[in-house]
Formats: sequence, C-alpha cells, structure tokens
Amino acid sequence: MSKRTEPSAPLKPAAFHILLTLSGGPCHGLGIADEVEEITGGAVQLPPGTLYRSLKEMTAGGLIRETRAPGSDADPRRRYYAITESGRAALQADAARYDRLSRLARKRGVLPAQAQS
Amino acid sequence: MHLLRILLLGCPPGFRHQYGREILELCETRRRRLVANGAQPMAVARFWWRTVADVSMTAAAEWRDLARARLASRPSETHHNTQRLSMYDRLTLDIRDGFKRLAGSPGFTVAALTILALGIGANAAIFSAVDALAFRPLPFARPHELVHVYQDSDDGRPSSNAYPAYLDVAAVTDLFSGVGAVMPEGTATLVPASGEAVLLHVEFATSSYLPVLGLQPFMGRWFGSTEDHSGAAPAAVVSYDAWKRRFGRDPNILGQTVRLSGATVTIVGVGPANYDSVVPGLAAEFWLSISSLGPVGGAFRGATLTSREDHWFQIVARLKPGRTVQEAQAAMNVIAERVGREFPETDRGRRITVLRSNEVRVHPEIDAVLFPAAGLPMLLAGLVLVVACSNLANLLLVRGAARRREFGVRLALGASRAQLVRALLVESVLLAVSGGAAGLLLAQWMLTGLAAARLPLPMVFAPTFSVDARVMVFGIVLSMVTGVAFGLWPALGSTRRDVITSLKDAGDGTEPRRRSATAVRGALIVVQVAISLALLTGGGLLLRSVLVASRMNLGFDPASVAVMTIDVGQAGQRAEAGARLIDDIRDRVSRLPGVDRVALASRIPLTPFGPSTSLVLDEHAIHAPADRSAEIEFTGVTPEYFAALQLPLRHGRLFTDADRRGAEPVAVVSEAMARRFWGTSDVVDRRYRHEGQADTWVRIVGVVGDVPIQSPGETPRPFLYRPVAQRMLNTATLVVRTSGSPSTVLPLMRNEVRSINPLIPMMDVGTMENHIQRSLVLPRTAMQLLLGFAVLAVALACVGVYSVVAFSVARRRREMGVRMAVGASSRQVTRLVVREMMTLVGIGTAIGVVLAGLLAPALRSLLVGVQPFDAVTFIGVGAMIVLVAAISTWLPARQAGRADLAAILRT
Repeated sequence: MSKRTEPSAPLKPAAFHILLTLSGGPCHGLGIADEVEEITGGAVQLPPGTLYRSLKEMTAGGLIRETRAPGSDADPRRRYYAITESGRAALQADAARYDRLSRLARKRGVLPAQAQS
Repeated sequence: MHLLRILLLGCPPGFRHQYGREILELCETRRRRLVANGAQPMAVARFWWRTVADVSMTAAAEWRDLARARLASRPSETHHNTQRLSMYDRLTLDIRDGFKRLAGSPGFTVAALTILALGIGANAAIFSAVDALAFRPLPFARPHELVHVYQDSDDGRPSSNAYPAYLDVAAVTDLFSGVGAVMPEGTATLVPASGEAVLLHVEFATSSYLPVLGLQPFMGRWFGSTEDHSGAAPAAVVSYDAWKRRFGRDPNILGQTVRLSGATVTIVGVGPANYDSVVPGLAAEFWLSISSLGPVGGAFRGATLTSREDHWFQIVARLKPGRTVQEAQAAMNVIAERVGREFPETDRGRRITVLRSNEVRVHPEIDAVLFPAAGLPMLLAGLVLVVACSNLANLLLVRGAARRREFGVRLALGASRAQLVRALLVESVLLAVSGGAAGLLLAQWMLTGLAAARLPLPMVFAPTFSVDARVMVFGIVLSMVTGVAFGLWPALGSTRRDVITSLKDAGDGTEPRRRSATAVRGALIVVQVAISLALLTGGGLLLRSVLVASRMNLGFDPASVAVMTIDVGQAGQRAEAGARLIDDIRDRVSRLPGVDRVALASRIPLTPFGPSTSLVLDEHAIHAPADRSAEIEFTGVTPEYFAALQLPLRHGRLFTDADRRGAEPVAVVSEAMARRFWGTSDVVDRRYRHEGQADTWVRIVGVVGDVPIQSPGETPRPFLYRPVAQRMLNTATLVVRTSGSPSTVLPLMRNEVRSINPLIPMMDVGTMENHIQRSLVLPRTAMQLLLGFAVLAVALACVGVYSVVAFSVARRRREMGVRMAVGASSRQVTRLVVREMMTLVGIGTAIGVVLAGLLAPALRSLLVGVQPFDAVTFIGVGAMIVLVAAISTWLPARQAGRADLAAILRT
C-alpha cells in the first residue's frame, strides 16, 4: 500500500485517529483503542478488526513503526507503535486540510463562527 | 468469545498470528466494560453484531489484499491467469467474487441470512438445552467401567435401593473396585448468619461416592469412611457453584460450620467444578455425609440407614478392569436371592438390576419420561428448520431462474460449467457460514433468556445452557447441510442449459415455463403451509387449554386467599413441640388485621404430589377392588379449612373442635369418593378403616364438593379429609381468607412466623391465585414454546408464499398481458394468480390438518378442559392459515392485474 507514503493523500478516519493518538508518544493497540475512545468522548470506538488492519497497513506504508516497549511499566507482551516522520507529516497535512475545510464551512455559515480558537 | 475465535480462523494465518490475541483481548475488555456498566441485552447484542461484522469484513479485506499481492507478483501470467492459479488463489478469488455477488443483491442476501439465522438459531438453542439435560457426557473418569445398581420396586421395575442393600453390594470386592451411594432427594434449611432461612437441595453421599465417579473435590477433602457411620460428626462438602454464589469464593471456607435444619455441620471441602448433582440440570448446594443423615434429615431419614423397606439410595459401582456387566449381574442375582431368603417380608422376589452407565441418564424411570420430553422440542425445532429450508430453496430457485441469462453469457464467453458450479458452491457456503454464525449468535441470546427464566419449582434448576463446542458443531453442520444442499441443488439446474436458449430467454416468459421447477416450488409451498398449520394447531390447543383452565370453576373460591407452607420438621422441631408450634402460628396469624379465617392443611388443592393411604371399606361399599380396599389420597385439615376455601358441604356436617385426638375418628370425603365406592353422594355414617389397623373404624360424617387435587381439569378424584388434630403434621400449609387483598397480609404473616422461630422455612408463600397459576406452568411453558415456533413457521411460510407469487407474476407478465389484450379484466387476471396459489395452500392445509391430527394426541397430557381434536381450534387455525396465505398471495398478485399492457407487449 505504497500510496500511503504520499503526505497529501487524505487519511482514512481510523488512520487519522491512530496517528493523533501516537503523536503523544508510543502506545500499544489496546492503549490506542482506549485513548481514541477517550479523546473523542466515546464518539469513536475503533472496531477491533479495523484497528489492527489499519495498524498493519500503516506500518507497511511507513506512517508508523513498531518500537520497543517504552519505560519499565510497559507490558512486554504487547506490540508498541510509534509515529514516523512521514506519519507526522501526513497527520499535519490532514489536520491542516480539516482546518481549511472547517474554516471554509464557517465562512459559508455551515458552522457557527467562533470568536477565537 | 468462542464465536470470535472461530471468526478469526477465517482470517489469513499471518494476520491472525500477529493480531489475533490482541483482538480477542480488546473485545473482551470492551464486553466486560459494557456488562459492568449494566448494558441492556439489546446493547450487548448490538455490540456483538458490530464486532462480528467488523472482524468478518477485515478477514475478507485481508484475503483480498493477499490475492492481489499474489496476482501482482506474477504479472507475466495475466493471460488466462484463472486457469493457472493454484487451488488456493482460485479459492480466494472465488470467495471474493462470492462476497461481491451477495453484496450485489442485498435484498436476497438479507432474506436468506434471516431465514437461515432463524432456522439454525432456534435449532441450536433447543439442541443446546436438550443436550445439557439429556446428552452431554457426564464428567466421569473411564465411564465404561461404571455401572448403576438398582433394586426393583414392588412392581418389578429397576428403582432405588435400601441402604442395607448398598452395604451388601459394597461387600462385593472381587468385582468392583469401588461402590458408592447417594440419596438424591434431600432438602435442608440453611440458616445464614443474617436474613431468612432458605430451603436447599442437598444430597447425602457415602465416602466412596465421589472417588468411584473418578472426581476430586476442588478444594479440601471429600468424606472419610468414619463419616459413613451415624455416630460421627456431620460433615458437608459445598458444591462449587454454591461456594461461588453463597460464599463469594471464600478461600477460608474449610473448617467453617453452617446450620442446616437445626444441626451444625462442618464444611470439609468444595465440590468439583464440573459436577453438581446426580440429576443433570439440578444443582445440589451441599453434599452431606451419611453421618449427617439423622441430624440434618431428621429421625425419619436417619432411620433409613437400617431399614430394608425404605428405598432412597442410588448406587454406582466401578468394575475392576476386565470384569464384565454380566459377571456383576450374576453376583447381584446371588445377593438378591440371599436377601430375599433372609428378609422375606420386605425382599422376597425382589431382583437387583445392573445397568451400564451409558444406558442410564438420570434413572431408568426418569429417563423413560426425559427422552420423549426432550424429543418433542427437537422435533418442533426440526419442523421449523424444514420450513426455513424449503423457504431458502424457494428463494434460491427464484434467484437461479433470474440468473439464467447471466450464466448463459458466462458460458458463451468460455466459462466451463465446473467454474459456474464452483462459484455457486462458494456462494452457498458463504451464505451458510454467515447464516450459521448469525444463528449461533441468536441461539446464545435465546439461551441467555432461557436460563434467566426461573421455573417456579421447589428445586434449584440450574442447567448450564451454553453454546459450547458440541452446539457449534451441530450448528455448523446444520448450516452447511441447509446452505449447501438447498443452495446448490436449485442453482445447479440453472447452469444445466445450452447457451442459445439461455440467451434467448430474457426471463419474460417467451419460453414455456419449466414444469419441474414449478412443481418443486409448489411442493415447497405445500410443505411450508402444512407444517405451519400443524405447529399453530398445537400452539392453539395449548393456548385454549390455558385460557379454559384459568377460567375454570374449581369448586372452591380462590379469591382473597393467601397460602404459605411452613415446615416445622425442617427447623429441627420434633413431634409434640412441632404441633404446639403450628397451633401457636395459627393463633397469631388469625389475630393479624385483615384476616378473616385461618386454616391449616397438610395438602391443599392443585398439589401434584401427596401421600395416599390404603383403606378397607365397610360392607355397604358397592364397588371396590379386591377385598374392598382402596388407595386414596388424603389431607389433614383444621375445622376452618372448608370455610376458608368456601368448599360447599353436600351432606352431613364439617369438622368441629370436638373432633380431637382421643375422640371418635371421623372423616369427610369428596363427592367423587362417595359415588365411586358407595354409589351415592350421601354416605354419612358409612365407615372405613386403614389397612393394618383392624379395629379402628373411621366414621364418615360429611360429604363435600369435588376440587382438583393434582392438576386443573382432572376428572374428580376420590379424596379424604381428616381432622388435623387426629393426624400429626410436620409440613403444614396455612390457608388464610382475608377481608382485603391477600397480598397485603402475606408480609405480616412472614414477620409473624419469623418472630416465632426464624429457623422455620416458609415455602410457596403467595396468593391462592399464584398457586393455581403455578399448577399451570407446564402447559403454559409448552404453549409458549409451541406458539413461538408456530409464529416463526407461519411468518416464514408467508414470506415463501409472497415471494413465489411475486416471482411468478413477474415472470408471467407477458402471459398476463396477452390475456388482458384478448379481453380479460385485471380482476380476472389477479384471480387467476390467486387461484393457482390458493390451490397449493388448500392442499397444504389439508395435509397440515392430517399432520396436526397425528401430533395432537401427543399433547393430551398437557391439555386441560380441551380435547386433542378440538373443533374450534382446528377450524380456527385452518381458517387463519388460509386467510394469512390469501393475504400473502393477494398483495403481490395485484401487480399482475395492474400490468401496463402496452409496455408489456412492446418487449
């Protein structure tokens, strides 16, 4: 799945959430699932198959990489993932895209204008 | 979770090995969180549905990637690549194609999956329940060595054993490596540190019992041989389940004492996790040592240890290696002979039977009832499956016909017939597997509901219903057979055609309709209608029976009556003290506000089991079996009993307080008894005596109306009432007529009894109306089961009728158009379609009535006040089926008449 390396391609929602979580530091699959649920206030619950398939594809695409378990409290049986440079670039590009889109939406009155963000 | 594991097997191995464990873990965490948050069953079902769908989609996507990767790695083979691909790759492609084709016709796929899921779900659930009760192997070591030993009952059938007989059998050490005995019918009152006393199911067992079965206690120890003697301290082994539930898995349970029926018993062990009763489906909470029999069971039970008359024990023995059942039987014959000689009054001619453990499920007498009872639900579920299968076959026939043109094109483009068949096979298997998975999910859900429904029985009935490996295999085999046989067979027909005809045939009826396919579709409709009619008739009979029974005149007035059974014997009270205690309770309850009358009875109406006694009647008796003796059921009552139930007096008088111990022995009899034995209802001053008491004649002083003794709707039974003061009671039911609502008096009654003695267990506390409803539990449960299946079958049959009519209308548009062009009105055309279908429905109805007639007698024992060949039910159900089928026909048939003439004829 080499097309993922190209930063301008929009990310799938699952990939976006995973990258967003990993931008805060390495984590394992279960941790990512919990974190995504938490930061989205329970709105996004990554289904197990989708989660691990995304992790696999993203690793193959170079957006994330497997890493050593960080710290002493880490669970040695788990696979940990960290965000790569190209992953960070893709995340930034996508976030910027969302930002542009939401600004556009505000301008058109689709979203209420916000005083300051 | 099992299901998920199986789904994961559908993923490519690489993906599975890398992520399988974590996927399971994530699901389990989420499920637990959901349950911990107290989610509704529907929410849990939704969660499972989402998870299963997600994992299935992932598996499909992974396979697709894999196939793409392989194809991409062999770019030079793109020419005719499908021919040169390996088996494995070809299968992958076929599966992908299958998914695509199924997704391409969502209407068909959803319908087929729903039908499969309902049919398989119902069957898997029933199989699981029946399996748990009747077939699942018991967890015994080397079961082929185990044998059951039964002394015959008086009428010569294998029954239960006397304890001395167990000792005789246990002495045979050259054949058996061990012999154990258990008394399955035990109850005891547990008095917890706080709260109310509860009545438990317990089993008394010998020290050899568990070792003979080859089981070990989970914790602590089983009984020692010293505890097989009545002098030793009472010991208990708590069952694994009760340890979990009642003691919260207390690790320090060993050595603790519990109060059971007034005796203090030391817990010495926790039972095995996989075994909790000699009766599968029941759960004993404690096993008690033989030394506990007297202290816990009472003097009456204690005495059975030395009595050759009381047959309470089941014996299980383990043959030494190399020894045979025949040798064991021969040895038992010798023992039976010797015992018969030594104790002729109890055991002359009484044989001993040895049965292999695989010949016995619970007990020969219970097995005789269990297997037919288990077979009926299986039969019903099987019938629903037949309806589901014929429905699916219909759908596939329709689909196959619609795809004939597609196949024609593919054959023309050079596809081999084998390829088409393979594609169809894959499609069927995909359908079967998904339908089966959905069915198992449905079964699990139904079983959760089933296990939660507590039957109002005095025992803890806790069968472990679960979708285990056996049920999985059952479900998978079932779905494969249904899906593949009924999926492939109709599809095959649609590939067996030459290219030209297929291409010419645009599915618009230019081709003469194929007679065989139409005939098959017709036959399938007939089968569906017939089976649903039979099931609905059964359900209707039971429904009517339950309705009739709840409106039936019972011969007494159950309104405003509260009942409560107390057992002073269980509380450790004996004889005189027990009688005083019962008097005390009666006096205090009668002073409660809202209480009009308080009576006591040893047995109230609608109680299925009760004691009977043999009477010798006086010389006026006209009809009596040999030497004028008769076996009659009886109850002991206080004088207020008849007034409390408003039981009408027909002749003579009722009891008074003067009918006490020491006064003249008197009795009141039911009208049925008077008529049966004396030929008239006025039998005042007739007399009888109890067999074995030659001089004590009892005078009949009154005759009362008949009430149902055992079950609602029974033919009036001869019944005998004696003053309770002239017969001792251990267990007594308080019958309280109230001025207001009986349910407001019940808590006051409870408090009163508890304040007198907290050890007295209170059973069956409720209103008389509750008690009557409870007596209908069996017909009611059967009715719910049967009606549930019937509704399912009828719904499926309607879908079947609808789809066949809709399809035939679509296919025959041109024919209809021509008919209309030559002057037929749209109503005539509709009528033509309806008539064709209703002929089939009529045949189905006729066959269904015959089928129902064959099934109905099997329900006889469950029917109250309704005959098996109840005309109202048969006619009503028949009319209903015809009506429903007519509606299912008429809806799609209207389309035929509405056809746009010009548009049709242009094509």
